[in-house]
Order: sequence, then structure tokens, then C-alpha cells
Amino acid sequence: MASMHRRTLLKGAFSTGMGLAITAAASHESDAETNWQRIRRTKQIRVGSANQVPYTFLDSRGTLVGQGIDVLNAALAPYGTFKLVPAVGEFGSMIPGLLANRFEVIDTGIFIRPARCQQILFGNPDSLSHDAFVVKRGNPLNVHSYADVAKNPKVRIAINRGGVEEGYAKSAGIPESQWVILPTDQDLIAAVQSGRADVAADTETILIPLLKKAGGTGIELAQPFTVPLGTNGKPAIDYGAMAFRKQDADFKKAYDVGLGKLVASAQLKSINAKWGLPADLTPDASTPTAETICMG
Amino acid sequence: MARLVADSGQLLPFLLQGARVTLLATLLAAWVALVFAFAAGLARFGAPRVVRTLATAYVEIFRGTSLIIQLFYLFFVLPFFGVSLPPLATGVIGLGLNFGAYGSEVVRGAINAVPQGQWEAALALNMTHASTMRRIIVPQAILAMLPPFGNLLVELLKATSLLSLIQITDLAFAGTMLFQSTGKSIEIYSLILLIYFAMAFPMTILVRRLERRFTFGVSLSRRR
Repeated sequence: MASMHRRTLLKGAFSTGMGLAITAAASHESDAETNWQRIRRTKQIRVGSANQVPYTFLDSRGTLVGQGIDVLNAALAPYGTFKLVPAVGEFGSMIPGLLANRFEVIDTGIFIRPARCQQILFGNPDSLSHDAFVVKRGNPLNVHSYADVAKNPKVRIAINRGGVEEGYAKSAGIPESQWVILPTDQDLIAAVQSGRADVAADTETILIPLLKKAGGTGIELAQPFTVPLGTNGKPAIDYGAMAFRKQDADFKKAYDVGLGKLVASAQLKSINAKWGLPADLTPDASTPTAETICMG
Repeated sequence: MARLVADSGQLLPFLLQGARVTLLATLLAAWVALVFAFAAGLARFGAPRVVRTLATAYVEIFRGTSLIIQLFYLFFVLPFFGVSLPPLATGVIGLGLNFGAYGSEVVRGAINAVPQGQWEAALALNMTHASTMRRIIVPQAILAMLPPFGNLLVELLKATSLLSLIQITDLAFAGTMLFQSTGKSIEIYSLILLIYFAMAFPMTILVRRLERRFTFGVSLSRRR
């Protein structure tokens, strides 16, 4: 009986010891240094990405590339060159990962929304987007807005689960019988191609590279298109930006300064164009700052 | 078919990277789970009340809550308390704790299945509790533990796909990423199916070999 107690105690002591050792090894973070100071010292930035084309995504060799990578590198160029260490995960894990300091910046084209501003700091926008429709070539059903879809009960509109498009469809009065809800962006394009839906609604920056990959096989963007109205009664423009922790205001400031230079010198326009984003989706001097957008 | 073979050359390297991570996570987590399974399973027998209660609490908590939430807690919530482990370590510990809880019930059940006569004979021979466990009971119980352990091992292999939540590129996540950038769903998901099977089948064979090895010396009436 005594030796069983001893064995159990030894087991317990061993595991507690291991636990303490692991904890000690893990919490080596020095609280005196901010993330931006550590980044400037180690020349390494951990970048959170949700593998979203064209913002940041892994190419076939496992390197992180995209509009977001080029913008981050160019904006921080005055401070030196940095090694970008990718931390790829699902979109839903981006904000929790940033808050838990798993990476120093979210670089995945995350849109500035007032609710998110309460948890994280956004840099100034580096790209714009708004909703767009993908239809069969020639737009046979002649849809140019959400209102057009509501007017024609035969039009089936494909949208992502839980996206803003659900809200736009509801406000336009499109009954749910006309909705085709699909999990990913590729599914929306595939639905229009295969005829399972007549219209695919998603944000334009994501639709453009998907259309390019689909190789112009009988589908196109609906032009012209009336951008749906947002909650403030104005056309809903989405602003894509980098996101930082609230404690990393110095990092955000340094990035904003660099980004401002890119906007002024039109370098941002050429970076965006390289990744397929047209000029009207690139911020210029008149684009509001992150703080303004956060206030709604 | 020819297209599948041709595209595989392009897709395989990245998928195999993910497969390597999946395999590594499975083997490490299996080891951790084994330790916890035996620790918690054995602790239910003849240990001081505190240890027995702790073991029961551990088992009920980790079996009763979902693995996704456990991983989420370890990875995203613990850093707020100062404990921030790298992703793979977090994943291995999370999987190990969860599957160790299930494993401990297997251990407990198998030990209970050893005939009462064995305990009585050991008592008559004046053996201590620990000695009885170590030399008489557990060796006989292992044979009964192996099939459920084999089950849990294959389940663990598939549960590693949840590690994508904590920024680990396992095989399933590698496939999703490739699909997002190439759109070749048929090729990618066929390859992933084959690779998972190629990893799971040897594990099943290994467990079966272990079962045969532990059957040696067991009386003919108890063999199956």
C-alpha cells in the first residue's frame, strides 16, 4: 500500500515538475520591450494570414505572397528589411491569435468595422472594396443591383454563410427562397458557372482573382453595378487594412507613416494593380483614416 | 486519370509537408495520451482519495468538453495567464490530454476485467498492491486494452485536423489551402484520402501485431 502511494506521489511530482519546467521555459517574454521594439531588434515579424487571395496567401512553395505582403514590406522599408514569418490559420482565429500575441500583425485584408475597432487597432486602409455581382456572360437576366434581384423572383443569388451580403439581401427585400448559401468564395463562382445560381454576390477584391483563375469561362462582373447602401445610408465601401494590438500603437504609427508615403507617391497604386486591384479600389489622399472609419 | 497523376507531382510536395506534421503530431500526442491514460487509469485503484478525485475530475472534464474548445483555451486563452507555448506543443498537449482521458477509461475497464481470483491469489502470496498491479494485473489487462487503444489511435490521427485552428498546417489544412489557390478539388481530396489511409493502415497493423505478441503465454481458453 505504501509503495503504491509512493509511486503515485512520484508520478505526481514528475508531472508537476514537467509542467513547471514547461511554464518557465515558455514565459520568457520580457514585458519591458514592446512588440515594435522587438521587431526592430530581431528584424522578424510574425504575420497572421487567413490564406486569402489576393491579400496574403501561400504559393505552391509555401512562401507567403500577395498584395498585403508587398504593402507591408514597402511601408516598413524606411525602417529596414524584415523577415515575415507566416502564421496561417482560419479567418475566425485571426483576432484571437493577435490578442494572444501569437503574431504581431493581421495582414489578410481584414475590413475595418466599428465592432472590431473595440478590440484591435487598425492601420490606415491599403485597399478598398465593395460588393459586386458575378453573372453569366452578357448578363442575360440584366441584374445590376440587389433591387434588381428582388424584383425578379426567378433570380437565385449565391452568397457566403454569415457574410455582409446576407444583410444587403435582407434590406433589399430578397426572400430567402432565392438565396443559395454556400461555404466558400470558390463555391459562389462554381455555382454561377454550373447554373446552380444566376448571380454570385461577394466583395469585389476577392471576386477579381477568382474570375481570373476561372479563365473567363462564360462569366463576368455585372457592369454597371449599384453598390448597396450601408448602415449610414451611404454606399457601403469596405476598407481593408492591417490590424495591430491596442498595446502596439507605436507599430501602427510607424506603419501609417510608411503607408502615407506609398499613397502619396502612387507606389500603392502600382502594388495594388500588380495584384489585380483597379485604381478605384486603391486609397488616395481623400480616403478617411482608420479612426474615422472606426467611428462608423 | 492521367491528369490526376500529372497534377499530383505539383500538389504532392505541399501535401506531404502537411502529412509529416499530421504524423508527428499524432505520434507525440499518442505518447502523451498514453502517459495520462495510465496515470489517470491506475490512479483510480488504491490511491489516496485526493489523487483518485483529481483523476476522476480530469477524466470527466476532458471527456465532457469538446476538443476544439480545449485547444482554443490552451492556445488563445492561456497566454493571458502568462503561459504561451508554441503551436505544436499546445496541440500535442491538448490532444494528449483529451485522448488520455478516453484512454484512461479503457485502462480502467481492462483492469476491472481481470478475474478477481488473480487479486486474491496475489493477496494470499502477500504481494503489495503496487507489486500486484505491476506484475500480475496490468500485464493481463494489456491484451484487453489493445483493440480500444487501436481505435483511439486512428481517431487521434483524424482529430489532428483540428490543429488548423491553432495555426498548424496539417494535412487537411494543407489541402484546403491548395484548394483555395488552385481550385483542383478532385485531385487534392483524392490524394488526401489516400495519404490518410496510408498513415492509418500501418497503425492498425501495428496494433494487431501487438495483440498477437501479448497473446503468447495466455491460456488457450482466453485467446480469441
